[in-house]
Amino acid sequence: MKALSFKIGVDAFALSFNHIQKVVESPELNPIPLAPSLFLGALNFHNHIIPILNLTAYLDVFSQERDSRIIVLDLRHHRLGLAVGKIEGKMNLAEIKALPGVPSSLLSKVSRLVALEDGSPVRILEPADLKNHLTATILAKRRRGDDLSPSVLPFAQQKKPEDFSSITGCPDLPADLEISCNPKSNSR
Amino acid sequence: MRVEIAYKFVSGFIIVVGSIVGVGYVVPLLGIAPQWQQLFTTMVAILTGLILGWFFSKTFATNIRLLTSAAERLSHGDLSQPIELPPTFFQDETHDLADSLNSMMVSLEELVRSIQSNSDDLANSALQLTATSEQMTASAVEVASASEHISVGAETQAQMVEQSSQLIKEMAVSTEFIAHSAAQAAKSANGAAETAQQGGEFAQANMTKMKEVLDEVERNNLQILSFGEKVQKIGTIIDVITNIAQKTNLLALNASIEAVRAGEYGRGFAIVAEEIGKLSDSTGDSAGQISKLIENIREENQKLQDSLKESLKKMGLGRNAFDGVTKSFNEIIQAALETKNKSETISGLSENQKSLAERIVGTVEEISKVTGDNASATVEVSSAAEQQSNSMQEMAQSAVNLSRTSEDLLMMVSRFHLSHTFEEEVGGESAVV
Repeated sequence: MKALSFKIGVDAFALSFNHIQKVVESPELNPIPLAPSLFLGALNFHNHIIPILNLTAYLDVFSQERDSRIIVLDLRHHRLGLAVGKIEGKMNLAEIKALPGVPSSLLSKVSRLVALEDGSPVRILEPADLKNHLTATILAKRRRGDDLSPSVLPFAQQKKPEDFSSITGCPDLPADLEISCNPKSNSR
Repeated sequence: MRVEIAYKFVSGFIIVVGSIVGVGYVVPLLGIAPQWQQLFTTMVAILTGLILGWFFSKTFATNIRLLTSAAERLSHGDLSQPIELPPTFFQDETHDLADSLNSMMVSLEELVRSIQSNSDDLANSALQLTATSEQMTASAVEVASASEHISVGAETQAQMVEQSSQLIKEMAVSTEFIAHSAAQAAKSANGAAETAQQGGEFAQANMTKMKEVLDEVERNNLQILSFGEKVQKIGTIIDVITNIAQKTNLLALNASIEAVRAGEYGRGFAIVAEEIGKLSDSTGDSAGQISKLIENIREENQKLQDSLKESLKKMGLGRNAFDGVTKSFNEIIQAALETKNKSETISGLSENQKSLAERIVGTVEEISKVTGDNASATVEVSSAAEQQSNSMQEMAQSAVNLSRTSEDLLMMVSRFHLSHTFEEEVGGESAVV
């Protein structure tokens, strides 16, 4: 199985190509108003607004390293951008061996720990588990009354550009742009 | 009328004889008995002879007595009374003797007067001579003392002159040494001036070469800057290449993803994407190596530029230093020339001083000789002064003796009783003296 390897802190991760829409150079991100700090902003990917999740912050790993490239996940009906520590490249997950993890830990909830052929440990990130856990987390915060804008769940309920313009406070956006509150985006 | 005593006796005899003869002629006329005539004649002759004898004897004896008395007075120094014989018509030798005695008395009186006067003068002169000799003795003693001082001073002067002569000789030697040293200094200054001149020319040539080197270094610096800019451009190109490689790698990665997502249809595409990924990796690695090399070159170039800047700065300082050296050399040349001129002047002056010192040495030697002669002469003067002092003492003693002699002489002539007129004259002169 082909997978993309990347690092967050000292931990090695792998993500199957089947879950990856594309790896893109990180353009100028559009900040999302009232969004939690887990989201770095929004990305215009083929006229679709994609929120960018800071996976390092989400996994609560202390690391200043961040790759300039964004991994665009394909979650069937939704897309999510992941900002990781460092993208290593392709790797083959042909012969891997599962390793026991800590069930209650967050990492174990969103990934599975395996050992490569050479014995080195790698965490295989599961986008579905990540989506579910992230959705549950955000909903729980909403229920607690945390100030969360609906726009922080774009992957849960994708919005049209017209609807998104009300969030960004840019009512006069052209119809062909999903998000264009950034002055540079407007200039383009 | 002068009649000598012998003639008087002869005349008396003749008178006696004549009386005898005449009485013989007269007696017969007188009537005297013949037998008495002889007696009478004899008696008359004897009487006549007695009368004449008495008269002559009395006169002669009186004169002799007066003369004896005068001689007696004269023997006692009484010259106050002249011999006065009784007046007579027929003067004889007693009158001559009286006259002679009177003349002798007059002469003696004059002599005594003269002796008294001269004795007084002599006594006075002796006194004056004594005083003068005493003064001269004192002066001679002073002269002797002064001469002794002068002699000692002359000896000291001679020693000082000798020391001065020695010092002047040493000064002359020193002056000669100074003249020699000044000549050597002038020669050295000339050599220093020539060396400084050569050094200045050498510094000027070095300055020119240094300027050429500086220009060359500046050109090299510009070339290095140009090289750095080119390297920068290469770095920019490499960045572009690296970016392209990264994008190609990303493209290959996405191609691989798409190939996987395409399933069986994307398998060939996956191989191509794999190759493209390898190429991009290789390109990225090469670009990275080139980038590292460029970075190294850039660092080295920056170091070289810094080094060149530092070198230029130091060379600028060196240029300033060379300017200072050239200026210093010029100043050294000027100073050396001035030193040379001054040394030559000193040498000339020292030569003159040497000549003057030699002349001074000659003069001082003359002074030393004269001083020695003066010392000898002073010794002689001192000796002569002592002799003079002795002579003066002898002379003073002689003056004392002379005074005593004059006093004795006055004492001797004081027993002569002079006439009042003379005594008055002598007394008046003594009072005047």
